[in-house]
Amino acid sequence: MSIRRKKKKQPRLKPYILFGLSLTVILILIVSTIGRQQLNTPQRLGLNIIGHGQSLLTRTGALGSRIWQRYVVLWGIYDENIELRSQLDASRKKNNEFREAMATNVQLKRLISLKQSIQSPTLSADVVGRDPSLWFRTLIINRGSRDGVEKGMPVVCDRGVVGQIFDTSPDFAKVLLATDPNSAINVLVQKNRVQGILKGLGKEYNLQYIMKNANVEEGDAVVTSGLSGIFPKGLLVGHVSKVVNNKRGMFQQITIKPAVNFSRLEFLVIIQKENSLARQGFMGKIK
Amino acid sequence: MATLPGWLGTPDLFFILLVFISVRFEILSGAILILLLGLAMDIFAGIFPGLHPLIYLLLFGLIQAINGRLFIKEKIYQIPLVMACYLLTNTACFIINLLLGLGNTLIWDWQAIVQQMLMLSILTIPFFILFDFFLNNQPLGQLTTMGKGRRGNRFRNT
Repeated sequence: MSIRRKKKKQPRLKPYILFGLSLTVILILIVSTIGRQQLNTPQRLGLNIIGHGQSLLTRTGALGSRIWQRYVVLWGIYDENIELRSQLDASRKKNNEFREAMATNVQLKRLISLKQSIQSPTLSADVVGRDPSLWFRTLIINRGSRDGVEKGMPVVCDRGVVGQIFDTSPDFAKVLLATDPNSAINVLVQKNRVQGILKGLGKEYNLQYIMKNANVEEGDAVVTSGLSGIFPKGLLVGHVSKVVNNKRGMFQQITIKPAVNFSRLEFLVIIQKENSLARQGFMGKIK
Repeated sequence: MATLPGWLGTPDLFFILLVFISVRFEILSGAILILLLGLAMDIFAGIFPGLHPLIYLLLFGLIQAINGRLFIKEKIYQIPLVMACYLLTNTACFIINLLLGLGNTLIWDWQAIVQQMLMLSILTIPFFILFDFFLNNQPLGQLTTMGKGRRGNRFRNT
């Protein structure tokens, strides 16, 4: 019994020794590491293993994240795309409307300043139709005899002379463009006041009856002379683009480039006569 | 839809209609229709009233005369007819304009005329098929079979 008691009372030293040894090894490792400031072989091995593990984990995480971002999140993107496209279309449409409104505004401002610069009463009109044939240059506008428009009234735009009224109906009128071969306008070269007759050539003008001794050069401005009593004096018609002096004949052959772009006409101004009978009737109706 | 470029020009589809009427209609009904179309055209275009009815009736007479003597009726052969008629019509217009507006300088614009003829050559067949569809209820699918009508001797009566 006494032996048994003795055995029981003996302290177990093994764990303490093991713990002490381990602690010592760890301390030695720590101390040796701090001193050298670099990892030892087992640490490197551990780092390598942990590094691979971490790398694998990071790549897996990145893949998952990529899948989430690129695919799972995009599940609703089709609807969003449709929605955004419709918004883009609406914005484009609005943008176009604003641009159109701005362009119209600029043209109308010019037209108003033109109307203010003309002494005679004026009437604005919109172009509603164009001559489809190759041989004539006419326009149809939305003002007619009911508005006081008469045959022969000059038609201008913010850039210059357009033509004159050729015929009217109660609500519409036909304008003979200045570029029509049947049109003739009294004009003068602005710089030296030399007078001539401007005839239409389809796309440009021909300035006729300018004597050879007159000094006319390319780029010279040509304006209405006001002589015929149809067009007010000083309205821009175009600029000299070509001058040819033949040996024979008395006159120069002068080509004029129109100041007006006839293919882009939208808003026009009709210059009315002060004592026009139609205008008197029109004003009477207004009163 | 984007706007077509300006250099493409505007095809004269009205002219195809005129040739179609001249080819397909009888003399009296065709002449009346052509006259009315010419009078309507005078309102929109030109400054000499009567010019368009006159030229269109001349065109109608010419096509009737040619068409009566032609045995080939397929649509594909209408292309040169339309092109030649367009050239003749413009020539007539040019001459009459010269006579009516003495002293005026008229410029024969080959570029515009050739461009118009090329456009008409492309559009003649589709529009003939379309007009035939409206006039006779002929099927629109003939575009793919144009020129493949009768085989062999088409001038043989039996």
